[in-house]
Amino acid sequence: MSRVFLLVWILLTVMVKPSRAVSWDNFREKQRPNSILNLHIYSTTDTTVLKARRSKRSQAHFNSYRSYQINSDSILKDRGYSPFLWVDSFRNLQNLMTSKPLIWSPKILIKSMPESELTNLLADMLLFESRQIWDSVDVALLNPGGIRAGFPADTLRLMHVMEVLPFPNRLDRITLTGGDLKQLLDHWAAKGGVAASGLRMTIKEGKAIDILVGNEPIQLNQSYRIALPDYLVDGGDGCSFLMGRQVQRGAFRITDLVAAHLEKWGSSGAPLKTQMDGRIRVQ
Amino acid sequence: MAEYGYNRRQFIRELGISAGAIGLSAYFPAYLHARGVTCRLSIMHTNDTHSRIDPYPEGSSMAGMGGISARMDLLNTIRSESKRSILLDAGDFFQGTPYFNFYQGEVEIRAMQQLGYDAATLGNHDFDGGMDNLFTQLSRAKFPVVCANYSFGRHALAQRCQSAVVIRRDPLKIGVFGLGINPSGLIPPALVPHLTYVDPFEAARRQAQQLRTICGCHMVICLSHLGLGYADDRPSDRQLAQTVPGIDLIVGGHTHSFLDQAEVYTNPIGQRVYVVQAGHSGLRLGKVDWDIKVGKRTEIYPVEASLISIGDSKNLGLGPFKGERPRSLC
Ligand SMILES: [Zn+2]
Repeated sequence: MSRVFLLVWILLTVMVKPSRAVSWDNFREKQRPNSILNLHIYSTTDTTVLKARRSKRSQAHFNSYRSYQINSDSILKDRGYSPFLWVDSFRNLQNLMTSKPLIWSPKILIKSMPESELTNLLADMLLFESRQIWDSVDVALLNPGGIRAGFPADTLRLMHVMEVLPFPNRLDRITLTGGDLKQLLDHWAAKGGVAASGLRMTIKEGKAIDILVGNEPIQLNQSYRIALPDYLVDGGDGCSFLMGRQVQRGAFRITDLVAAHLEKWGSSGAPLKTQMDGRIRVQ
Repeated sequence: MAEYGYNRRQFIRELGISAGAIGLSAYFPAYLHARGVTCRLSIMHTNDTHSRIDPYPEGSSMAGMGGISARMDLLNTIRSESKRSILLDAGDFFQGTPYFNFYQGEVEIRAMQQLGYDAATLGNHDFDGGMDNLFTQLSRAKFPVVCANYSFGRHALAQRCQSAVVIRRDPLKIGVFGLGINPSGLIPPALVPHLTYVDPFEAARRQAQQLRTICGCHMVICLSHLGLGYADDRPSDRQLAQTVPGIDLIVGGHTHSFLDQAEVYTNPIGQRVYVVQAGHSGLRLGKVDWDIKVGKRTEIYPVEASLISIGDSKNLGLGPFKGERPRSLC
């Protein structure tokens, strides 16, 4: 039976292919304007399959990983690419507003754990700035998840700071006992590290040990003042244990504080200086 | 109810029959329903694109990757290869680059409309500009926004968002419903005064049943921003897959998980459920292909699930996969 149908099908396909193609045309193609559709079909002819890997597990027919590579200069630069030309007007205005030079960065800075030049730099700047706002701050902490990019080896501009710290969080000051601070540091130790300034610690089996605040070992009953994003104070990123503590709300956004600090620093013509000082070690 | 199975012999036999049916069906639609026809469907998905309009800038381990132009190119390659495709987003399209800080999401939404999204759900960061702003931005686009467990009371968003949508790709009817994460601790309450959160599993149970029985969908997809899984008992995609019957595929988000293997679970009535997620920032496009046999009885055969890199080849396999390769259960 099925062979007969197959034969009829082949005949019909050969004879009336165009009309079949139209009748099975999917919903989307009917919806999309023709001009856009044509443009793309031509621009994607150089797509190649780079590698194919098939899983040998039980779901082998279903799970696989593939990479397509698209080699086109216009795509990599992402400018002047016709379907999204309208983005250029947004991009240009935004670039104009954020292109003010702040400071020269001699090298690429990338976030990594448990500490990195980037995380140390940001935390150090926040500790400095928080001490301009409140008279006593012992430690500044920044959740690594809030740091979304790195700095290029280039003149840093406001746009770079906004890439690195895109979230509109403000800097608050919270007062914690040494025991609570230890709990907060354990939380970050379990996640692999944190951007911190004003303290040193060692991560052992996901716990923070040998904690020094300033140069003194942590005292569990003493109270410490910690500058950190309102996102964490409000219980974000698993910090629900911080909710309801004594807190001074800050007026400044972290992004603005960092940009202002870099601008002051760079106005003397000095380049950005960063350091890895082993403030967070992993044992 | 959909039934799963993969029998090579049976598949080859059906291939012959359905090939005939495809050829004839345009002329004899009645035949199609009598014997069944197998259709290939590609479901493409992104999640947590986080305002990544341009590729990652220099100074990042992912420099040159991502970007809407490269995504558009890839989508069109796939669309030119496959007859039926659906493009979905599992939320958190806002917040992450200066584009959002300056334009409150206008660029993201206009880009999504142009990329041809068929449906999207809402993530916690989509409320970062407030509910009024979210409504204003969503008004720029026509794609349906689905979320079955948020209710917005009398706010205008209630008109723009719906629980579920049925997407038609003749002869298939695909039901898509959305689930949002518990906003407490994630969204400042001042930003969402009119938002009421409902238990996601209860909402899912109701949506899945309605889409199957009332709407007659051949396949039901849950577009979820619950997150893949947690150490504690917060509702997650993994729990949802094992708790609520009637869902075929869960397209997830929030946890930024690069699932280069689809996770497979069995639901309470013994059917297989697939969970996929495509990392974040438009670095990957997820693609799941199915063969769906339509007839008196619907049968669904998973063919392939993959994550496809978007952007610069120099960085392929680096950066984004490092340290974030969730355990796969299959
Ligand atoms: Zn999210």
